[in-house]
Amino acid sequence: MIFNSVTYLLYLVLVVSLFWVLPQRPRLWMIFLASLLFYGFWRPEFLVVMLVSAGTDFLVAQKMEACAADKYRWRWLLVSLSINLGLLFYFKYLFFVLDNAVTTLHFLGYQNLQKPVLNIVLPLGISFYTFQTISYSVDVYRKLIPAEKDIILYGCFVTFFPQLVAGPILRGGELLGQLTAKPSFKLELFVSGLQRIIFGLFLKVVLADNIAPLVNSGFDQPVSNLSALDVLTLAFLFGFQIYFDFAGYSHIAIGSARMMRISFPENFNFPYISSSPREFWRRWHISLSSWIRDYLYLPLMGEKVRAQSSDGLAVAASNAAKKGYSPSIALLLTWTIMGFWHGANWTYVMWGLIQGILVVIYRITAPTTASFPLALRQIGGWMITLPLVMLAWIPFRAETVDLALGMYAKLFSANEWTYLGLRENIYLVTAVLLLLTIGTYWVQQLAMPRLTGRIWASFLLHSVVLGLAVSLVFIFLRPINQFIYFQF
Amino acid sequence: MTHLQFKPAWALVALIMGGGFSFFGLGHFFAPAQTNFETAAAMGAQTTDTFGVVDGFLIHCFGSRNAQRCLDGQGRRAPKSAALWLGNSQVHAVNQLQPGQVNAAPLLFSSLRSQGLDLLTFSLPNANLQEHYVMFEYLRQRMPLKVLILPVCFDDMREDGIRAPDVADFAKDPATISVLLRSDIGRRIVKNTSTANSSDFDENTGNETNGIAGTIQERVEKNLNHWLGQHSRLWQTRPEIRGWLFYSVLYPFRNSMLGIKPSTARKMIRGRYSNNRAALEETLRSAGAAGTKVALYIVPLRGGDKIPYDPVEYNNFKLDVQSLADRYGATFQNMENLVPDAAWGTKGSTSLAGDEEVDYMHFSYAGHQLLADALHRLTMNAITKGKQVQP
Repeated sequence: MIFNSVTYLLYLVLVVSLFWVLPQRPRLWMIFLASLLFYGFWRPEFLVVMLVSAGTDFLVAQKMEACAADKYRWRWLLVSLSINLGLLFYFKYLFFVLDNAVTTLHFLGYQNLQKPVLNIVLPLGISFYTFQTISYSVDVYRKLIPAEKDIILYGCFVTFFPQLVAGPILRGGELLGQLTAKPSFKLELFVSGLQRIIFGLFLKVVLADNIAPLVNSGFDQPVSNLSALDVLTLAFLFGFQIYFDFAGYSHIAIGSARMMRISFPENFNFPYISSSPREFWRRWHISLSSWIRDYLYLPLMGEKVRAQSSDGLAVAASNAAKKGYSPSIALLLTWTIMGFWHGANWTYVMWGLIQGILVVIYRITAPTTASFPLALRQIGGWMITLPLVMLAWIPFRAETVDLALGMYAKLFSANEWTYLGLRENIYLVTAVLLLLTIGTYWVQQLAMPRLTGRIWASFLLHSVVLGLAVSLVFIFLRPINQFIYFQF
Repeated sequence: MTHLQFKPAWALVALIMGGGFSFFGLGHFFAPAQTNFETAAAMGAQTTDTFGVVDGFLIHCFGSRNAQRCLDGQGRRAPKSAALWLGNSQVHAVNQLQPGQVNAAPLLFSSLRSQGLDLLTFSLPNANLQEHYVMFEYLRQRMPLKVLILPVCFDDMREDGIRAPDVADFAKDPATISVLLRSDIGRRIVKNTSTANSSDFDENTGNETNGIAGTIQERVEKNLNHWLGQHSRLWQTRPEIRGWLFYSVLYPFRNSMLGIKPSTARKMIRGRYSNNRAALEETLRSAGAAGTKVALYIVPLRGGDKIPYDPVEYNNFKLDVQSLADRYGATFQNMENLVPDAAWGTKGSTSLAGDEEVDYMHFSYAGHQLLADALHRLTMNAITKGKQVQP
């Protein structure tokens, strides 16, 4: 089910109402069944794939807990990883691997081989729930959490509808306890959840969906039609589209859960005001960044994990006798894998690699710039980081690596800076969005705290902002586009 | 929204109050309205659309939604040969329309009919040449086409894309696709329209369920929308409100902020120009291969020294079109000065200032009479001589 629809709003009213009237056990059953319904509204047949993935980890975790020897625990973990990653490989990467293998063999002279024709539909949210179930098994293996014995409770953890399709990616320790706790209704959280949903819908249906046609019209052009300024503008515009789209989704997810007094970690925190690539990844898709860190980067570094990171990227491991890759190699590997996680296309690998290179360069240069005044580091860092991060989005949106490289090449040719190839509105919208994004940050940082104690001014501001948001959401609410992250 | 300075109950009151005022405002201003704001913004309130009817059948349509009504009428008339006139809003809109007046399409229909030639006209606001290419390829398979009458307008060279459903549906016709796939621009059109779910276009809600196409939720969402539309006029009016927001608020706001007026020079957009030029070339090539004569003309423009284009770019554009006409044997005429100043009018404001503005694109009935006469001559010339007509 897609959030930006009347169906979801109606569904949410029903589920939240039932949540607050049902006793504990029926409530868990209701959440589980409602979550299956939520998923089945897309393609019911793929419920089986999700349940196989979830069921595997439920059983494996029991087995792991029952084993005393690390050797056997490790074997059970391998079973979990094989089944989960096997499903992910089949649905997401098989065609890509076969296609590339055949292309390579053609290159080597085996021209008779046919290109593969496979009709595999990618199950919605498979990358997200696979990561979630893997993290559960790994956490049980690391003895960070106990294996869950209640299959319905465990089912709720994997399938809980607000985060099922596109995150935030939750750990067992974050959600299982909240699902078992007896909830007491708190109006503040309920209203705050409602506000987050309205704000998320505003970002999605008012901003992201209206930016999408402008972005599409630009990326649909042959590269030869685009100037260097067009490339830069499209990179920024897509950067805003994907931010509003994904942050909108996360707000709705967090708000929906909060209405049931379940707390999700934040997934975004004004990423485009970051003054370094590292800071950007502490503000963008935070739940994925922390997942990648805990389950990929630290193991690649040879670190021994002692506890889960709580704020996404807090240090949670140490191992004096570690035997792993150097930080730079581990970072590049991690980012390449993270890019590939997004999609079976070399464009995503390219995007991941660019992000990895940016972070590595920052790590190398940071000690040199550490002596600069703070204001210079922050403003200068922002002025360098923002365009780099935005330009890095190009392979994420481009259909082929050739197209992405062609767009980048434009930036290095002086002649390509002398004309404009897009409709004037695109430049205007991009400039306005940039100002609005920065403006919103400063309003929240500077203006909002000044309202402390001015209750009526604050009340009036809330009424006006919410009134405007509600009316715009009412006007624009329609499932005209999926969320971008649904394809991953 | 995270800095709550007051009790949560008041936050709920703020939400209810804000939402309540919004709905009251929307209901008050929009529930009675049913206006196409896109058309109003493009043409101004002083310009009226007319679509001619002969013997109960349309002879002038705008796209897939009413094309069959035009084709059925032609089928009933069963002509041996026919002309097809594709155009933009200049063709269907009459400035300062008076009772009993029509646009050029019925006038040209009558004059060509006397020469044994049936005429169907298709026009859309700001139609670009890629859309005309698709319409030509679709319609030529469904009528005894002898002449294509094709206007070329510098303004529309700045447009891009294929509109759903009116042209996108044509681009999804299998026979049309197979023709389009023979050219680069045609392949680009097919690729870009294949993702638009235009066959499911709903008159009231448009392609509003593209994000859930083919899912169970799509059926539920459509039923809910239908139910809400039946029970709430405000819900039903949402497309008009969106149109109002874009064309009556954001568009004039942009024009006011940047000082854009109808007389402001519009620059050529290189990518769009090259796409439309490629589409024009393919149309001429395809028509030539099919033995269809082409009457190609530069559209009438409000005269004087104040044309709203860069003079160099506009001159290059005219030379470019003429060279294409020469290359593919089309009969060409530059009609930019065809309509005298007296036949042009004004339109409502396109900025927040609210002043009346000069209309550079739409003329009165007198202008339509001149256009119909000129096109009659151009068409006859295309059929009988196949030569270029001097302006």
